[in-house]
Amino acid sequence: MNNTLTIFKERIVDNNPILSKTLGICSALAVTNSMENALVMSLGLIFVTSFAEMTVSMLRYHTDKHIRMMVQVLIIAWLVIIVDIVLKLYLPDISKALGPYVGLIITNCIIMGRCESYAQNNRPVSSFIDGIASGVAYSVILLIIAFFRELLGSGSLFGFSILGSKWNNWTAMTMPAGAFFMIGLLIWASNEYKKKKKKGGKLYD
Amino acid sequence: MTKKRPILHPVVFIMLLSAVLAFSLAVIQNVSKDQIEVNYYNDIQKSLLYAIDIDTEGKTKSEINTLFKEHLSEAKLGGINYYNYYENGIIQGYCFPFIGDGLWGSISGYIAVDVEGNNLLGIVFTSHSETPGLGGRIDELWYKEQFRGLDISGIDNFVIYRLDDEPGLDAITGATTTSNSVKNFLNKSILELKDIIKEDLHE
Repeated sequence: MNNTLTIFKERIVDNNPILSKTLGICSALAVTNSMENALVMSLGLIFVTSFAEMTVSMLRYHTDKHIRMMVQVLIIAWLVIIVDIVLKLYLPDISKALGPYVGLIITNCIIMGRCESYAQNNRPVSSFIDGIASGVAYSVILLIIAFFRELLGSGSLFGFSILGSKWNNWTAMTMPAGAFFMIGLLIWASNEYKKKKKKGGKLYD
Repeated sequence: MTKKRPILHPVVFIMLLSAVLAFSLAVIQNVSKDQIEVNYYNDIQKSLLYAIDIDTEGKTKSEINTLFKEHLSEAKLGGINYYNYYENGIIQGYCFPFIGDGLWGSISGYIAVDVEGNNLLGIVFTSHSETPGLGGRIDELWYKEQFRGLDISGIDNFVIYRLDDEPGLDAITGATTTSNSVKNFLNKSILELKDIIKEDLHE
Protein backbone atom coordinates (compact mmCIF):
# COMPACT_ATOMS: atom_id res chain seq x y z
CA MET A 1 0.00 0.00 0.00
CA ASN A 2 2.82 2.34 0.94
CA ASN A 3 4.43 1.47 -2.32
CA THR A 4 1.31 2.53 -4.22
CA LEU A 5 1.29 5.89 -2.45
CA THR A 6 4.94 6.42 -3.26
CA ILE A 7 4.30 5.68 -6.93
CA PHE A 8 1.40 8.12 -7.03
CA LYS A 9 3.33 10.90 -5.27
CA GLU A 10 6.36 10.34 -7.45
CA ARG A 11 4.35 10.49 -10.69
CA ILE A 12 2.06 13.38 -9.80
CA VAL A 13 4.25 15.73 -7.79
CA ASP A 14 7.93 14.94 -8.15
CA ASN A 15 8.11 13.63 -11.65
CA ASN A 16 5.00 14.75 -13.45
CA PRO A 17 5.27 13.70 -17.12
CA ILE A 18 3.95 17.02 -18.41
CA LEU A 19 5.75 19.35 -16.00
CA SER A 20 9.13 17.71 -15.72
CA LYS A 21 9.49 15.95 -19.06
CA THR A 22 7.07 17.98 -21.21
CA LEU A 23 5.65 14.70 -22.50
CA GLY A 24 2.18 14.47 -23.96
CA ILE A 25 1.74 18.21 -24.39
CA CYS A 26 0.31 17.84 -27.89
CA SER A 27 -2.98 16.65 -26.48
CA ALA A 28 -2.58 18.81 -23.37
CA LEU A 29 -2.60 21.83 -25.67
CA ALA A 30 -5.37 20.58 -27.93
CA VAL A 31 -8.10 19.35 -25.62
CA THR A 32 -7.87 21.75 -22.71
CA ASN A 33 -10.14 24.53 -23.88
CA SER A 34 -13.08 22.88 -22.15
CA MET A 35 -13.31 20.86 -18.94
CA GLU A 36 -15.58 18.23 -20.48
CA ASN A 37 -13.18 17.36 -23.29
CA ALA A 38 -10.24 17.35 -20.90
CA LEU A 39 -12.06 15.02 -18.51
CA VAL A 40 -13.06 12.45 -21.13
CA MET A 41 -9.58 12.57 -22.64
CA SER A 42 -8.10 12.03 -19.16
CA LEU A 43 -10.31 9.03 -18.45
CA GLY A 44 -9.45 7.54 -21.84
CA LEU A 45 -5.76 8.02 -21.19
CA ILE A 46 -5.89 6.53 -17.67
CA PHE A 47 -7.64 3.45 -19.08
CA VAL A 48 -5.22 3.02 -21.95
CA THR A 49 -2.03 3.65 -19.95
CA SER A 50 -2.95 1.30 -17.14
CA PHE A 51 -4.10 -1.60 -19.29
CA ALA A 52 -1.33 -1.14 -21.84
CA GLU A 53 1.28 -1.23 -19.07
CA MET A 54 -0.32 -4.29 -17.54
CA THR A 55 -0.46 -6.17 -20.84
CA VAL A 56 3.09 -5.20 -21.80
CA SER A 57 4.27 -6.32 -18.38
CA MET A 58 2.47 -9.67 -18.67
CA LEU A 59 4.08 -10.34 -22.02
CA ARG A 60 7.52 -9.05 -21.08
CA TYR A 61 9.23 -12.45 -20.83
CA HIS A 62 7.87 -13.58 -24.20
CA THR A 63 8.69 -10.41 -26.11
CA ASP A 64 12.08 -10.30 -27.76
CA LYS A 65 13.90 -7.06 -27.07
CA HIS A 66 14.05 -5.89 -30.67
CA ILE A 67 10.34 -6.23 -31.39
CA ARG A 68 9.12 -4.76 -28.08
CA MET A 69 8.18 -1.41 -29.61
CA MET A 70 6.01 -3.04 -32.26
CA VAL A 71 4.31 -5.09 -29.57
CA GLN A 72 3.70 -1.97 -27.46
CA VAL A 73 2.24 0.00 -30.35
CA LEU A 74 0.01 -2.94 -31.24
CA ILE A 75 -1.32 -3.19 -27.70
CA ILE A 76 -1.83 0.57 -27.34
CA ALA A 77 -3.64 0.81 -30.67
CA TRP A 78 -5.82 -2.13 -29.69
CA LEU A 79 -6.88 -0.44 -26.44
CA VAL A 80 -7.52 2.88 -28.15
CA ILE A 81 -9.85 1.21 -30.65
CA ILE A 82 -11.71 -0.36 -27.74
CA VAL A 83 -12.08 3.09 -26.12
CA ASP A 84 -13.33 4.43 -29.44
CA ILE A 85 -15.95 1.70 -29.82
CA VAL A 86 -17.12 2.05 -26.22
CA LEU A 87 -17.53 5.81 -26.64
CA LYS A 88 -19.45 5.35 -29.89
CA LEU A 89 -21.66 2.79 -28.18
CA TYR A 90 -22.48 4.53 -24.92
CA LEU A 91 -21.60 8.20 -25.36
CA PRO A 92 -22.24 8.92 -29.05
CA ASP A 93 -22.41 12.69 -28.48
CA ILE A 94 -19.12 12.92 -26.65
CA SER A 95 -17.57 10.53 -29.15
CA LYS A 96 -18.57 12.91 -31.91
CA ALA A 97 -17.28 15.95 -30.06
CA LEU A 98 -13.96 14.26 -29.36
CA GLY A 99 -13.69 12.72 -32.82
CA PRO A 100 -10.00 12.99 -33.64
CA TYR A 101 -8.86 13.25 -30.00
CA VAL A 102 -9.56 9.61 -29.30
CA GLY A 103 -7.22 8.48 -32.04
CA LEU A 104 -4.66 10.93 -30.70
CA ILE A 105 -4.36 8.87 -27.51
CA ILE A 106 -2.22 6.43 -29.52
CA THR A 107 0.36 9.12 -30.14
CA ASN A 108 0.57 10.19 -26.52
CA CYS A 109 4.19 9.63 -25.60
CA ILE A 110 3.40 9.16 -21.92
CA ILE A 111 1.89 5.74 -22.62
CA MET A 112 4.79 4.39 -24.62
CA GLY A 113 7.27 6.06 -22.28
CA ARG A 114 5.80 4.29 -19.28
CA CYS A 115 5.53 0.93 -21.11
CA GLU A 116 9.16 1.23 -22.11
CA SER A 117 10.66 2.46 -18.85
CA TYR A 118 8.44 0.82 -16.26
CA ALA A 119 6.27 -2.03 -17.56
CA GLN A 120 9.23 -3.75 -19.26
CA ASN A 121 10.90 -4.29 -15.90
CA ASN A 122 8.07 -4.63 -13.41
CA ARG A 123 5.29 -6.98 -12.44
CA PRO A 124 1.81 -6.61 -13.98
CA VAL A 125 0.09 -5.34 -10.83
CA SER A 126 2.57 -2.59 -10.07
CA SER A 127 2.68 -1.72 -13.76
CA PHE A 128 -1.09 -1.32 -13.70
CA ILE A 129 -0.81 0.99 -10.69
CA ASP A 130 1.98 2.91 -12.36
CA GLY A 131 -0.26 3.33 -15.41
CA ILE A 132 -3.09 4.72 -13.32
CA ALA A 133 -0.68 7.03 -11.49
CA SER A 134 0.84 8.34 -14.72
CA GLY A 135 -2.61 8.81 -16.21
CA VAL A 136 -3.77 10.68 -13.13
CA ALA A 137 -0.64 12.85 -13.20
CA TYR A 138 -1.48 13.81 -16.78
CA SER A 139 -5.15 14.32 -15.94
CA VAL A 140 -4.48 16.61 -12.98
CA ILE A 141 -2.46 18.98 -15.15
CA LEU A 142 -4.97 18.76 -17.98
CA LEU A 143 -7.85 19.62 -15.69
CA ILE A 144 -5.97 22.51 -14.06
CA ILE A 145 -5.17 23.98 -17.48
CA ALA A 146 -8.71 23.37 -18.75
CA PHE A 147 -10.17 24.95 -15.61
CA PHE A 148 -8.40 28.25 -16.21
CA ARG A 149 -8.76 28.20 -19.96
CA GLU A 150 -12.48 27.53 -19.94
CA LEU A 151 -13.14 29.91 -17.05
CA LEU A 152 -11.16 32.82 -18.45
CA GLY A 153 -11.69 32.07 -22.14
CA SER A 154 -15.41 31.26 -22.15
CA GLY A 155 -16.54 32.30 -18.66
CA SER A 156 -17.92 28.82 -18.03
CA LEU A 157 -17.08 25.46 -16.48
CA PHE A 158 -18.30 22.17 -17.97
CA GLY A 159 -20.37 24.34 -20.30
CA PHE A 160 -22.24 26.08 -17.45
CA SER A 161 -21.86 29.82 -17.42
CA ILE A 162 -20.08 30.90 -14.25
CA LEU A 163 -18.87 34.44 -14.69
CA GLY A 164 -22.07 35.79 -16.22
CA SER A 165 -22.64 37.94 -19.26
CA LYS A 166 -20.65 40.92 -17.92
CA TRP A 167 -17.46 38.89 -18.17
CA ASN A 168 -15.34 39.81 -21.15
CA ASN A 169 -13.95 36.53 -22.55
CA TRP A 170 -10.20 36.31 -22.88
CA THR A 171 -10.22 34.87 -26.37
CA ALA A 172 -6.47 34.28 -26.21
CA MET A 173 -7.10 31.60 -23.58
CA THR A 174 -9.23 29.48 -25.90
CA MET A 175 -6.55 29.60 -28.56
CA PRO A 176 -3.44 27.39 -28.50
CA ALA A 177 -1.39 30.31 -27.20
CA GLY A 178 -3.45 30.26 -24.02
CA ALA A 179 -2.49 26.64 -23.44
CA PHE A 180 1.17 27.49 -23.90
CA PHE A 181 0.92 30.30 -21.34
CA MET A 182 -0.79 27.99 -18.86
CA ILE A 183 1.69 25.16 -19.31
CA GLY A 184 4.58 27.60 -19.03
CA LEU A 185 3.21 29.06 -15.81
CA LEU A 186 2.61 25.60 -14.35
CA ILE A 187 6.12 24.43 -15.22
CA TRP A 188 7.53 27.58 -13.65
CA ALA A 189 5.45 27.06 -10.51
CA SER A 190 6.51 23.45 -10.23
CA ASN A 191 10.19 24.33 -10.69
CA GLU A 192 9.97 27.03 -8.03
CA TYR A 193 8.33 24.53 -5.69
CA LYS A 194 11.04 21.96 -6.31
CA LYS A 195 13.78 24.53 -5.78
CA LYS A 196 12.31 25.58 -2.47
CA LYS A 197 12.01 21.98 -1.39
CA LYS A 198 15.64 21.34 -2.26
CA LYS A 199 16.83 24.34 -0.25
CA GLY A 200 14.80 23.17 2.74
CA GLY A 201 16.52 19.80 2.50
CA LYS A 202 19.93 19.10 3.95
CA LEU A 203 22.15 17.92 1.17
CA TYR A 204 21.80 20.16 -1.85
CA ASP A 205 23.04 23.70 -2.65
CA MET B 1 30.68 -10.51 -34.88
CA THR B 2 27.35 -9.25 -33.59
CA LYS B 3 25.05 -11.68 -31.94
CA LYS B 4 22.51 -13.09 -34.33
CA ARG B 5 18.97 -12.02 -33.54
CA PRO B 6 16.35 -14.74 -33.32
CA ILE B 7 13.84 -14.59 -36.14
CA LEU B 8 11.37 -17.40 -35.78
CA HIS B 9 10.21 -16.65 -32.26
CA PRO B 10 9.48 -12.92 -32.70
CA VAL B 11 7.69 -13.53 -36.00
CA VAL B 12 5.49 -16.25 -34.55
CA PHE B 13 4.93 -14.20 -31.41
CA ILE B 14 3.84 -11.03 -33.17
CA MET B 15 1.61 -12.99 -35.55
CA LEU B 16 -0.08 -14.73 -32.65
CA LEU B 17 -0.47 -11.49 -30.74
CA SER B 18 -1.92 -9.70 -33.78
CA ALA B 19 -4.31 -12.56 -34.37
CA VAL B 20 -5.53 -12.55 -30.77
CA LEU B 21 -5.94 -8.78 -30.59
CA ALA B 22 -7.56 -8.53 -34.01
CA PHE B 23 -9.93 -11.36 -33.18
CA SER B 24 -11.01 -9.76 -29.93
CA LEU B 25 -11.58 -6.44 -31.72
CA ALA B 26 -13.62 -8.19 -34.37
CA VAL B 27 -15.81 -9.74 -31.69
CA ILE B 28 -16.34 -6.41 -29.92
CA GLN B 29 -17.01 -4.68 -33.22
CA ASN B 30 -19.51 -7.30 -34.27
CA VAL B 31 -21.39 -7.24 -30.99
CA SER B 32 -21.65 -3.45 -31.02
CA LYS B 33 -22.27 -3.00 -34.75
CA ASP B 34 -26.05 -2.83 -34.62
CA GLN B 35 -26.17 -0.40 -31.72
CA ILE B 36 -23.58 1.86 -33.33
CA GLU B 37 -25.63 1.88 -36.50
CA VAL B 38 -28.73 2.83 -34.53
CA ASN B 39 -26.76 5.64 -32.88
CA TYR B 40 -25.53 6.74 -36.28
CA TYR B 41 -29.01 7.00 -37.82
CA ASN B 42 -30.32 8.61 -34.69
CA ASP B 43 -27.60 11.20 -35.03
CA ILE B 44 -28.49 11.92 -38.67
CA GLN B 45 -32.15 12.28 -37.74
CA LYS B 46 -31.23 14.63 -34.91
CA SER B 47 -29.08 16.71 -37.25
CA LEU B 48 -31.84 17.02 -39.84
CA LEU B 49 -34.40 17.95 -37.20
CA TYR B 50 -31.96 20.54 -35.89
CA ALA B 51 -31.60 22.00 -39.39
CA ILE B 52 -35.34 22.65 -39.60
CA ASP B 53 -35.33 24.02 -36.03
CA ILE B 54 -37.13 21.25 -34.19
CA ASP B 55 -35.80 20.74 -30.70
CA THR B 56 -34.65 17.20 -29.90
CA GLU B 57 -32.91 18.01 -26.62
CA GLY B 58 -33.53 15.29 -24.05
CA LYS B 59 -35.82 13.25 -26.32
CA THR B 60 -35.46 9.47 -26.56
CA LYS B 61 -34.45 7.72 -29.74
CA SER B 62 -37.97 6.53 -30.54
CA GLU B 63 -39.44 10.01 -29.95
CA ILE B 64 -36.84 11.43 -32.32
CA ASN B 65 -37.73 8.76 -34.86
CA THR B 66 -41.44 9.68 -34.62
CA LEU B 67 -40.69 13.40 -34.98
CA PHE B 68 -38.49 12.65 -37.93
CA LYS B 69 -41.18 10.62 -39.70
CA GLU B 70 -43.73 13.31 -38.97
CA HIS B 71 -41.72 16.17 -40.45
CA LEU B 72 -39.31 14.79 -42.99
CA SER B 73 -39.55 12.48 -45.94
CA GLU B 74 -36.74 11.40 -48.15
CA ALA B 75 -36.85 12.20 -51.85
CA LYS B 76 -34.50 11.85 -54.77
CA LEU B 77 -33.49 14.35 -57.40
CA GLY B 78 -30.84 13.75 -60.01
CA GLY B 79 -28.98 11.30 -57.84
CA ILE B 80 -29.06 13.44 -54.68
CA ASN B 81 -31.03 12.33 -51.68
CA TYR B 82 -32.77 15.27 -50.09
CA TYR B 83 -35.58 15.68 -47.61
CA ASN B 84 -38.93 17.43 -47.88
CA TYR B 85 -39.96 19.21 -44.72
CA TYR B 86 -43.64 19.09 -43.78
CA GLU B 87 -45.58 20.82 -41.06
CA ASN B 88 -49.10 19.32 -40.64
CA GLY B 89 -48.85 17.77 -44.06
CA ILE B 90 -48.01 21.04 -45.83
CA ILE B 91 -44.60 21.35 -47.37
CA GLN B 92 -42.49 24.02 -45.68
CA GLY B 93 -39.04 23.58 -47.13
CA TYR B 94 -36.23 21.31 -48.22
CA CYS B 95 -33.10 19.88 -46.64
CA PHE B 96 -30.22 19.38 -49.02
CA PRO B 97 -26.90 17.76 -48.26
CA PHE B 98 -23.74 19.75 -48.89
CA ILE B 99 -20.08 18.95 -48.89
CA GLY B 100 -17.12 21.29 -49.03
CA ASP B 101 -13.43 21.49 -48.26
CA GLY B 102 -12.40 22.55 -44.79
CA LEU B 103 -8.89 23.06 -43.52
CA TRP B 104 -8.03 19.39 -42.92
CA GLY B 105 -10.70 17.50 -44.80
CA SER B 106 -14.16 17.71 -46.17
CA ILE B 107 -17.01 19.16 -44.18
CA SER B 108 -20.47 17.80 -44.84
CA GLY B 109 -23.90 18.53 -43.51
CA TYR B 110 -27.36 19.74 -44.47
CA ILE B 111 -28.84 23.08 -45.46
CA ALA B 112 -32.54 23.67 -44.90
CA VAL B 113 -34.30 26.35 -46.93
CA ASP B 114 -37.91 27.43 -47.18
CA VAL B 115 -40.08 26.51 -50.18
CA GLU B 116 -39.41 29.74 -52.03
CA GLY B 117 -35.68 29.60 -51.50
CA ASN B 118 -35.70 33.03 -49.84
CA ASN B 119 -34.64 32.17 -46.33
CA LEU B 120 -32.34 29.66 -44.70
CA LEU B 121 -34.12 27.59 -42.09
CA GLY B 122 -30.84 26.41 -40.67
CA ILE B 123 -27.66 24.51 -41.31
CA VAL B 124 -26.06 21.57 -39.56
CA PHE B 125 -22.67 19.89 -39.91
CA THR B 126 -22.71 16.11 -39.78
CA SER B 127 -19.04 15.39 -40.24
CA HIS B 128 -15.82 17.34 -40.33
CA SER B 129 -12.24 16.96 -39.24
CA GLU B 130 -11.41 20.53 -38.25
CA THR B 131 -9.05 21.27 -35.36
CA PRO B 132 -10.92 20.60 -32.12
CA GLY B 133 -11.44 23.83 -30.23
CA LEU B 134 -10.70 26.00 -33.25
CA GLY B 135 -12.28 25.12 -36.59
CA GLY B 136 -14.16 22.39 -34.76
CA ARG B 137 -16.23 25.10 -33.13
CA ILE B 138 -18.41 25.24 -36.26
CA ASP B 139 -20.34 22.58 -34.34
CA GLU B 140 -21.12 24.98 -31.52
CA LEU B 141 -24.62 26.34 -31.23
CA TRP B 142 -23.75 30.05 -31.34
CA TYR B 143 -22.14 29.54 -34.73
CA LYS B 144 -24.87 27.42 -36.30
CA GLU B 145 -27.72 29.47 -34.86
CA GLN B 146 -26.51 32.54 -36.76
CA PHE B 147 -27.70 30.94 -39.99
CA ARG B 148 -31.32 30.63 -38.89
CA GLY B 149 -33.58 32.76 -41.03
CA LEU B 150 -30.68 34.18 -43.00
CA ASP B 151 -31.98 36.12 -45.98
CA ILE B 152 -30.86 34.43 -49.18
CA SER B 153 -33.18 36.21 -51.59
CA GLY B 154 -30.26 38.16 -53.12
CA ILE B 155 -28.19 36.90 -56.00
CA ASP B 156 -24.79 36.44 -54.43
CA ASN B 157 -22.71 36.46 -51.22
CA PHE B 158 -25.42 35.28 -48.90
CA VAL B 159 -23.03 34.49 -46.07
CA ILE B 160 -20.69 37.30 -45.06
CA TYR B 161 -18.72 37.82 -41.87
CA ARG B 162 -18.92 41.14 -40.14
CA LEU B 163 -16.20 43.54 -39.11
CA ASP B 164 -17.00 45.60 -36.04
CA ASP B 165 -20.65 46.61 -36.04
CA GLU B 166 -21.52 46.02 -39.65
CA PRO B 167 -24.26 43.51 -40.38
CA GLY B 168 -23.14 39.93 -40.99
CA LEU B 169 -22.22 36.80 -39.10
CA ASP B 170 -19.48 36.20 -36.56
CA ALA B 171 -16.52 34.19 -37.80
CA ILE B 172 -14.63 31.89 -35.45
CA THR B 173 -11.67 33.59 -33.80
CA GLY B 174 -8.44 31.78 -34.55
CA ALA B 175 -10.02 29.65 -37.26
CA THR B 176 -9.95 31.96 -40.23
CA THR B 177 -9.37 29.26 -42.82
CA THR B 178 -12.26 27.12 -41.60
CA SER B 179 -14.58 30.13 -41.29
CA ASN B 180 -13.74 31.28 -44.80
CA SER B 181 -14.11 27.85 -46.36
CA VAL B 182 -17.49 27.42 -44.70
CA LYS B 183 -18.51 30.81 -46.07
CA ASN B 184 -17.31 29.95 -49.57
CA PHE B 185 -18.83 26.53 -49.95
CA LEU B 186 -22.09 27.60 -48.31
CA ASN B 187 -22.40 30.49 -50.73
CA LYS B 188 -21.76 28.09 -53.58
CA SER B 189 -24.18 25.47 -52.28
CA ILE B 190 -26.92 28.02 -51.66
CA LEU B 191 -26.57 29.29 -55.22
CA GLU B 192 -26.86 25.75 -56.60
CA LEU B 193 -29.76 25.05 -54.31
CA LYS B 194 -31.67 28.08 -55.46
CA ASP B 195 -31.25 26.94 -59.05
CA ILE B 196 -32.52 23.48 -58.18
CA ILE B 197 -35.53 24.92 -56.41
CA LYS B 198 -36.31 27.28 -59.26
CA GLU B 199 -35.83 24.79 -62.06
CA ASP B 200 -36.74 21.39 -60.75
CA LEU B 201 -39.03 21.77 -57.80
CA HIS B 202 -41.23 24.64 -58.93
CA GLU B 203 -42.46 23.49 -62.25
